[in-house]
Amino acid sequence: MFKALVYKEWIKLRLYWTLMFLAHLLFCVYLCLQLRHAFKLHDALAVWNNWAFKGYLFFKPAKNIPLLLGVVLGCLQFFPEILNKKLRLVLHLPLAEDRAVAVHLLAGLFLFTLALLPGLVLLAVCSASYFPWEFLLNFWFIYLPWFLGGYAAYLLTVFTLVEPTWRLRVTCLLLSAALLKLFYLDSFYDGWHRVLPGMVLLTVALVLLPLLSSNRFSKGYGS
Amino acid sequence: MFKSLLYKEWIKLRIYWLLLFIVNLAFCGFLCLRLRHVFRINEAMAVWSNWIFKGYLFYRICEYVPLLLGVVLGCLQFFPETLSKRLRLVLHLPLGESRAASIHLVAGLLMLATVYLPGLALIAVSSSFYFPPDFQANLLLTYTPWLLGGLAAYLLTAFTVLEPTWRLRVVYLLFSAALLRLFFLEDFYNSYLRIMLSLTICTSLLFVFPLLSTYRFGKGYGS
Amino acid sequence: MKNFARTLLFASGLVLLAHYLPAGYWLLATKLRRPPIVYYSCTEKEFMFFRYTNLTAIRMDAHGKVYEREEFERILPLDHWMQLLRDGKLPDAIGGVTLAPEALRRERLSFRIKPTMIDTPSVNLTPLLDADTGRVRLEMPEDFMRLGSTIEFIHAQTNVLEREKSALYQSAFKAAGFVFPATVMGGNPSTMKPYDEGYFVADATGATFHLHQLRGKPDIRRVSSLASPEDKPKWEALKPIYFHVQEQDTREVHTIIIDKSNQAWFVVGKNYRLVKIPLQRYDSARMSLVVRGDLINRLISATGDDSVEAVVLNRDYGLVDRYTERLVSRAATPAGKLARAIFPFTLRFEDVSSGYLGVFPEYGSRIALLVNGGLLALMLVWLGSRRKKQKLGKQKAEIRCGMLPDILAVAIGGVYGVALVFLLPKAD
Repeated sequence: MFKALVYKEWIKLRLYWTLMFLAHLLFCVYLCLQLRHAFKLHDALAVWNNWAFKGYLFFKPAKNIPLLLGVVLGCLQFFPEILNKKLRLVLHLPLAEDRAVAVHLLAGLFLFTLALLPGLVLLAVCSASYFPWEFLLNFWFIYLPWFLGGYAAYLLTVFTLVEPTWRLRVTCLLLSAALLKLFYLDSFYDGWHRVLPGMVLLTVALVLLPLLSSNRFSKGYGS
Repeated sequence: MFKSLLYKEWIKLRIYWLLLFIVNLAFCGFLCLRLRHVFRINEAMAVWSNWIFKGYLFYRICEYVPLLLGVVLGCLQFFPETLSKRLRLVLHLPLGESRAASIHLVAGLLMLATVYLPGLALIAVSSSFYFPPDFQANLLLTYTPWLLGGLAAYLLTAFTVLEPTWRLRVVYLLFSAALLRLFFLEDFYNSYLRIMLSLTICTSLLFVFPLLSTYRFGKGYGS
Repeated sequence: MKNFARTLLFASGLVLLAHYLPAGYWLLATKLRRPPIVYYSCTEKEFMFFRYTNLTAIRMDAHGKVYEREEFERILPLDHWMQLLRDGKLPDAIGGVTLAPEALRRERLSFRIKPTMIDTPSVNLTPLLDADTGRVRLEMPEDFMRLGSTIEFIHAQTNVLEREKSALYQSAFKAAGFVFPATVMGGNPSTMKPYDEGYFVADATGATFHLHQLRGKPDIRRVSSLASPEDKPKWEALKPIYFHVQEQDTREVHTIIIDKSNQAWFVVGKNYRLVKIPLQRYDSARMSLVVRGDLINRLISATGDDSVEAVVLNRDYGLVDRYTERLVSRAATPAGKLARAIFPFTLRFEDVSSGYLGVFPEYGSRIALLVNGGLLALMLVWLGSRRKKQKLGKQKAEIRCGMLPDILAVAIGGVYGVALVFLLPKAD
């Protein structure tokens, strides 16, 4: 059952996933080419200095992409389900309700990771070839909150979409916006260093929210 | 017929419109409060100097908001039409195909304009308390490309979503991204002064593209 | 309608490809091309250069001889006087002029005027500092001056027009013979300078005025009436487009003026002496002007994409020497030639000449025209062979009309057109 559900989601989303994957990869290629261009035109030391002391990150334009892709994937996956209340069909399967929805979420999170990871690896390889290992470590520490923000965005989007009543949807939207802002507060790098474990825990805990919404949906609120 | 089509779109979208309206207005209101705060803790001379000589604009965060709102409205308005190929119903109405589609677009554009303009007016009014009239001209010249970008984003989203074949949808996505970037080229104020007229004409010409997609949809391509 | 939409799609596709494809090409193909830095040796009486080649820098003279760093610094004592002083190698005097460290430090001048400074978005508000408050340090005023069709002062904290001060200045301007509206203005709105030069303003007739605020009172004078009799006609004929004001310790140069005919001038001394900078190829819209002055000379260099010109003036502003060099412009590099052969035209929206956005087209070489023609011929052949396969009859004319955007796109856009024909929807 697990495999069948994941496969169903894949069939539904494969075209969009391919587009997202390609778009993200191409964008990362563009960022790497820009970095190469910067090294050609400027002193290498100046570029290192700009990162270390001024916080100019060559991958900063990619900051909001995990967030955007998380929201888009959440919408694309669950909008059709709720438009015709098709979600009810899933909930009637011989699986525990929570488990069915959780499988959908897992499928979505898995696809999200798959779409973003190659581009991320490309950026990391690029960092490693132009900068020393301290910078590479820095890169991972900076990107992790943004990536977690992407997961959170996906989960919170599903949370908002699946919620049946409009009144609570608005509350969900406000809560989501407020929570997501937390992932993107820093202006310089490494700001999240000390709270990273807490952030990971928070993101994992966010999985509960869509389950709450689907629970309310199945109870029949707001129909 | 004209009025009833507009009304139908309004009914379909009114809750989303209300949400977008409130979000935009609240965001602009938040910016005005922040402006007030900036003037309370800084000397006015310093804030004016930062604006005039360094190009710090307190409303710069609004840069991509019209774009996002345009894309969201375009998706919300046209995705349902294409999902179940419901657009065919509209095209069977005793109106010219183009005319029916045009009315849908006009409805969307009107809704977008009513979302954007109150926020802009709020920013203009509150900045008039703290800045001289020169600022208002500055605000208008800097904000207009972003507004035009938002309208263009809506039209291009409709263009992309309504297109029946996937191959062309991808082409249009790239086309839209490439075109929309041209609305957000500069970091300083007033930079678009000399090409504002061309930009406005370009944006109004974009109205024709969704009609092309609708025409192709009606011809039955890609079904 | 559908033909119009399709034509529009092709047209905008051409515009976008003409902007993005060359940009992508240059993102991959750019090589570092820095123009040489020009120096003048007052001991050897010749020009010296700091040339960049492939991430290394070479020190040379005009004949191509390469120098080591110490030798180079020895030949340019006034540019490296601090290092020579530390090493004990600084000569006592050069050409009768004693080299005292304090004088050397004081007399250093450095100005840089870039094209974007001349044509850039700006707001007509600027702070008019009080040049004579009686305090040691300059202080920012509490109001901004707006000088346009009238002169007004706005108090920043309250955002209120200061009527009395505005009226006072308005009558002072009128009394000085200033014809509103003001056209050009230049000053230095900062307190990080040794004194305040005020503002140079050109009125509607192009006459230059010098504006100060002294103890709250306006001090505005027509410069041509302050100048000496030989300079007066020069001042009256001058049509300035840019004033560059940068206060120095010696108070020697009031401003550098760029006028309508791309001529740069120094304004020097108490009598507002107008000194022509004798550059022959200076284009203010495309070249940056760098002035480096020291105890003995003034070196002015104008650097552009394809040329460097430098003139040396002595302390009396007489011409001492001149140097010109043609550089390899980006269009003349192999990558540039290839770009001009492939891309029939390029559209940029940003340019060095201005801070404003605009449309800046560049055209390809004749080879690009040949490429266009070749692609067009190929396309017509392909179309013809396709039509032979389908028997069309009456629909021929309609289809020919529908294919017009495609054909035009390939004819005008060459490579861009071919890409568009494959990407965009076909005519029915």
